[in-house]
Order: sequence, then structure tokens, then C-alpha cells
Amino acid sequence: MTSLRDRLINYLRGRWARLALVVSIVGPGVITANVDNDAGGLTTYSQAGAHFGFATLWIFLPVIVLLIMIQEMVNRMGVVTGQGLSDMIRERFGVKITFYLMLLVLLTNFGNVMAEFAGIASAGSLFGLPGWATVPVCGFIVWLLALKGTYKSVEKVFLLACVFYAAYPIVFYLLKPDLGEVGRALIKPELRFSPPYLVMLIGVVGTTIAPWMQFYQQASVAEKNISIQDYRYSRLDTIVGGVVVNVVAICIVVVCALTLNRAGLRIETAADAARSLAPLAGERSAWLFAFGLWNASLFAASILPLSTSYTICEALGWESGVDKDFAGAPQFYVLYTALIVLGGAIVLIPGLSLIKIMFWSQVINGLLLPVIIGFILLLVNDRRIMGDHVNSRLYNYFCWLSAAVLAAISLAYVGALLLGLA
Amino acid sequence: MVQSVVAGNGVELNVYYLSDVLGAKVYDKSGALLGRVDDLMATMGERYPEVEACVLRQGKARALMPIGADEFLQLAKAKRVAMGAPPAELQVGERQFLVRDTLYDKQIVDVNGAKVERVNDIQFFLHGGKSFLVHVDVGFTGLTRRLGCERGVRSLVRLLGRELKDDFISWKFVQPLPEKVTSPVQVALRQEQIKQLHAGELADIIEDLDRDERVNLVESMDVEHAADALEEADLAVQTAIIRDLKPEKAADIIEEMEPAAAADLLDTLPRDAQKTIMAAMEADERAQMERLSHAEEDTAASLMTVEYIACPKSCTAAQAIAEVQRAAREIESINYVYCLDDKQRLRGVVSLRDLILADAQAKLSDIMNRRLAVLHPDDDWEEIAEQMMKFQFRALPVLNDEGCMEGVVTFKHSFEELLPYYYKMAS
Repeated sequence: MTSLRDRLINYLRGRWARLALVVSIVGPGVITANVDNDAGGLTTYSQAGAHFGFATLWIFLPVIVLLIMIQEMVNRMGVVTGQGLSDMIRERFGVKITFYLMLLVLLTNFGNVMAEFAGIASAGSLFGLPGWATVPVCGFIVWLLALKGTYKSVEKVFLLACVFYAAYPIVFYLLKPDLGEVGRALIKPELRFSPPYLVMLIGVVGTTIAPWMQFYQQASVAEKNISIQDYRYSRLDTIVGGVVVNVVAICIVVVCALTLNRAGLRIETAADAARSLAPLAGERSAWLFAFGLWNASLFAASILPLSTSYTICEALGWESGVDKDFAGAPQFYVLYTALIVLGGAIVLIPGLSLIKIMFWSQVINGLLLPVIIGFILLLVNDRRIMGDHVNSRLYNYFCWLSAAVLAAISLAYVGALLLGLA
Repeated sequence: MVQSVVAGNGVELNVYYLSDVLGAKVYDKSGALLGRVDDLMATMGERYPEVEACVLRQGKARALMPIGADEFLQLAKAKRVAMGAPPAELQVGERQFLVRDTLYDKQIVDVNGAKVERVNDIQFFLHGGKSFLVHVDVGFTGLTRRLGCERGVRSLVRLLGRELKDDFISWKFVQPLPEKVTSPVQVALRQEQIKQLHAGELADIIEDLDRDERVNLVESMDVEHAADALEEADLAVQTAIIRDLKPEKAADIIEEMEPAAAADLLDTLPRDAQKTIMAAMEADERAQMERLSHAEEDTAASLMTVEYIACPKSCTAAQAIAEVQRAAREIESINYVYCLDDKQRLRGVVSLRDLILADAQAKLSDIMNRRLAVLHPDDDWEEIAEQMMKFQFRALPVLNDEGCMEGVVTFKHSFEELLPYYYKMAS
């Protein structure tokens, strides 16, 4: 008979093993979500609040659900197939479609990389540092981090610094907003057929559900070799990440609406956006905002170029990976380096509005998103690939409907442009 | 793009690509559309697979159309052909495979270059009224051909004073990756190819593959070969593969592995997986595994293998050589014969070299080296490294408190673990 002590030890061992397992699985979802609140995200949410008050808040509830559903699907595909998303697209749709899609992904992600460097430059300017100093230095650091394989150890520092986002819920609390009003704005859709408003909606959706996130999360999940039995932890990871990132986003919009919109201020530079944190940090709000923006930009900048290069090389059958040397994976290194160098260089062109770069890159995200959702839905419902892990019917209805609504908003915007309303 | 090339023997060959014929239209004699070419059916031949039929798609229906070399050429050149015979039902025979399904846009192993490659296009030769699958195209040229801009890119590159290079892999070196169980036909395809690879190369390839591809590949290999390759792969990759295999197959592979490596692998598995696999193992193997996997980390016991050659010291050299020959099939480390007394205690060591040079009737006790360098099961790695450096033996025996052998730590199998210590000592 086993003694009580032995049984206790065995029980605890089982518990610890379980906990260790959960810890090893959690990650891709939470990390992807945090990187999602990057320079583009911070800017877009701030502008949404500053320029439109509570008028864009209603989009967040459907966006949370859609974000979680989309990331859940790629997560599931990563666990079931152990393959990356671009790999699956290539095998299923052939090289032609894949090539043009990858071209779009490359351009879109390049916009995002530019946005990250714009974020770095903006943050630097708040500290009184010129862009020509901060951007090359940070670009070089980012480039080296990944190539030297030290990125993984730095990732935890980035994650820890994401505590900065707590500033927004705190300011939210300090401002004591009328919760009834916020609640009503969250659930009552408001539609305006005006191009600036439609663009803002596309931008908010595009920054929250950015196309790079699907490629990145599926790749990291596939790499982790999570077995389907442990899938529920991985799903929990995705849900927690999706909810947290959107709660922060809603707080940003509300805070900027109450501080900047009510005061009639518009956001033209990062310094304007920083003012929303004044109730918490007063005079030092610029520094606080600069720190948050800098961390967010650097975090995303060290993931985006790498993830983009992997995605594209995988799709086109080129060797990839930082464990290979230049001769072993030339396309990979050229892509990776070019993304960083060009992304940084363009931001340094004098007279460019950094805020505009950060915002418009997110709008392009939003325009590409319905296309990516379409591909994901076709793949995740293919029984030859997913077996019994295809979507349920209800799940599909919601996703197709959302993709259609997103496409409609995008088309409405393009239509408005063509009709000369812009 | 259809080209003509002149082979070494002066015979002119017509060359075409899969991308040339896919989507081409097939009509019947009356001019009604039968369908578009959706795939090609190849039959494994002695050297190259022969293409004898194409798969036509009309709406959702797929049918098989037998087709000769001339008609193929027409399809490739004119993108249309009229056929006399009606299409038949699509069935894939035992030695047959669908070219597009199996290869196009898929990953394959280039056995010659020991690399995983993505297939961009597939090249066929027409010769003697037959068409053969000869190369897969994994290069940039194939990519441009698929995108429909080969000519443009070719002239552009020529303007720059260069030539667009082809990157073909001969079918001889192509190992298609086994498909999931959903298409059971392909699993048996060309297993012999993979055997040309060295275990280390194979391990690199396995690491490069996606999870399903890995598991399918390992599942399709024979147990010994799979065990050799796994041993060389990254431990995390080993764990992932073993976890996804059926317990019986996993147990078979682990039994074939070098015991110390097998014990390490078992240790990294989740507890329930460990239990199922252990249960599927044979009794003596299981006992050995249990002993090894309970060893303290960072000690000689965790590093040693229990496979070594021991003889009573009263044996003759001839008897010992016979024992070496018998054991060498199973055991990797055969550099030393350990000489035991009647209480199974280690009394001396004879190297293989001394054994071969010795007089056949000489007693081991007369030729053995009595000055022993030994390890204790609890010795830590640093101590082991010091002993290894000091004596420069290929293996050191591990003795328990009674002086009986528990196993040996070989230089080769401990090298990676001990490298940091060697490095420290050297500097």
C-alpha cells in the first residue's frame, strides 16, 4: 500500500507536470496579441478616440469575437497539421495564387515594418532624440537580435515592458467615465458613409486583426509541437490574448475620446497622442507614452521582418532560418535585411508624417484581411487536411459573414473614393 | 515550354513540363469538350516512371484518359487535343501514382543533396513513343515558368549578361514524402531512395520537415534505419516524433536505439506516453530502460551504455574473438573486451588490437591490462571528462561498489555532453 506521503508527492508531481505543460504551451497567443498592440495599433486606437469620440467603439465587440475565431482557426491548423499557413496555401492553391498573395503580404507587412520604425522615431523625438540617430541604431539592434539567436531571451523583457498598457485602464479609471454611455456606444452600431470614418473602421479592424498575426501564430504553434490532446490550453492562450489586447484597445479609445476629443484636439504627432495620459502622469506623460511606444515598436520590429521572411520563403520553397548562413539561404537574408533597411530608410525621409505612416499601414492591413480570412476558411474546412477538426457550421456562418461585412466596408470606402466623396 | 534537347547518344528528345499540359483541353472526335487535364498518371518503371494517361476534370467529375506520347506533345504545344477513345473511370493501381497530387508544389527529399526542396515543376522526356518523368524542377526557372513569365525573365537576365540556370533533381534522387493515411496508395512509393542517406543527413532532413511529414517518413522507414536517424536528431524533435507514432512502432524504434540515447528520449516523454511505450517493449529491454532512466542526471550512470563485451578472464583469445564477432552485430562499441572473474568482478581489459595480435590459445588473464581506469556510477560529468582526457581511451567501464560492471561510457556517445568540460580543461 502506498503511503499517504507518496500519494501526495505523486499528486503534486502530476500537478506540477500539468502546470509545466500549460506554461510550455501558453505563449504564441499572448505574444501575438501583445505584439498586435504595436506602433500602428497605439496610433490607430488613439486617433479613433481623438477624432471620432465613441463612434467607433461598437466595432470592437464583433472584432474581439472575429479576432479570437480567426486566431483559433490558425492555431488549430498549426496543431493539427504542424505546418505553417503559407506552406498550406502553397500546397493547396498552387504557386501562382500563392505568389501573388505573398506579394500582397510582403507589401502589407512592409507597411507595418515602416510603421514600427515610425513608432521608434516618434518615441525618440519625445525623448528629444533625432530620428536619424534612433532609427538606424534600433534597426541594427533588431537585425542583430534575430540573427544572433538572442531574440528569445529578450522577448521576455519586451513582454514585461508591456505592463505599460496598464496605464490606459488606470487613466480610464481616473477619468471616471459615464459607464452607461460607454456601454451603449459599445453595443449600438453607428454607420456613417463618410470616407474618413470608414477608413478609421478599416484601420481599427486591420490593426486589431493584422494579416501577419495569422502567419506568425500558426508558425509558432506548429513549431511548438503541441499535441491535439493539449489543444484546449493552446485555445485558452488565444482567447486570453485576444480579450486582453482588446480591453486595452477599448480603454485607449475611451481615454483619447475623453481627453483629446472633448478638448477638440487632433492627433498630428506622437506628442498629441501622449497627452491622453496626462491624468496619470501629468507633465511626464510624454515620457511614459514614449517608453510604451518605443517598447511596442521594438517588440514588433523584431518579430515582423523575421516572420515575413519565413512566411515568404516557406511559400516559395526557398531555404530559410537564422541557423543557416547567407550562402545557404540567400533569399531569406536579402528579404530580412531589405525589410529592415528600407523600412527604416523611408521613415527618415524628411517631411513625412510618421503618424500617417502608422495609420495607413493599418488600413492596408484591413483591406487585405478579408482575403486572408477567405483562404483560412477554405483550408480549415478541408477534411483531407483537417480531418474531424474542421469548423462547425455556425462557426463558418459567422466567419463568412464577417469576411463579407469587412469586404463590404472596404468596398464602400473604395466606392466613396471613386464617387469623389473623399 | 516545349523544348528539344539532343541526348548524349545523339537522339533528339522532346522535353515538356507538367505546367505545359495542366489545364489543356481534351475533346472527342465530334469536337465536344471531354474535360481539362487535371493530373497525370505515372507508372513506376525500372528507372523512370512512365506516363500513360492523364486525368480529366469536367466540373467535379474526374476521369482517366489513356494517352500516347504524340498526343501529349500536342497538349503541351497547342493546349488542346482530340481523342478517339472515351475516358475511363479513375483508378490508381499498385505501382501507379498521380503526378500532380504527389509532387506538384509539395516538398520532396533530394537524396543526392540531402536537402528538403519544394517542387516548382516536373519535367518529362518523350522518347520512342513513350513519355517519362525524369526531373523535378526546384529552381527559380520553374517558378517563373509557373508564373508565366519565363521568357520575360530569361531575356531580362540575358540583358544583364547572365543565364537563367535550371535547378533540376533527377528522379533517381527524388524521394517523395509519404502522404497521410488518407491516400494509402502512395505510402509504399520508392522507399529504397531514403536508404541512400547517411543517418546524420537523414536527421537534418527530418528536422527540416513539418510534423506530419516527419511522422509519415519515420513510419515508412524500417525500424533500424529510423532508430539510427532519430538518434542523430535534436532531442525535442525525437520526442515530438515518438509521441506521434503508434506505441508499438515507437517501442520498436526505441529498442533499436543505443540504450543511453533511448533512455534520454524516454525521459523527455510525458508520463503516460512513457508508460504505453514501455509496456509495448520487450521485457529485458524494458528492465534496462528502467535502470538507465532512473539514473541521477549528470552522473556516469546517466551517460553510460549497457552494451559492451565481457568475457570470463579464463577464456582464450580465440573464444573472445568469437564473442566479439557474435556481439558486434548488436553492439556499437567493440573496442575493448572486459575480463571478469568468477564473481563477475572486472579484473582487466583487452583492447581489440591486442586481442587480434595475441596467440589464439593465450588466456585473457595473461594478455589483459590489469591497471584499470574506471568510473563510479555517481561520478559527475566533470570527473568523467577528466578521466577521458587523462587516459584517452575510447570507453571507460563503470563499476559499482562490488566492483561489478554496470556499463561503459564511450567517448563517442558522451562527446556532446562532455564537450563543455573538455573545452574548459583545454583553455
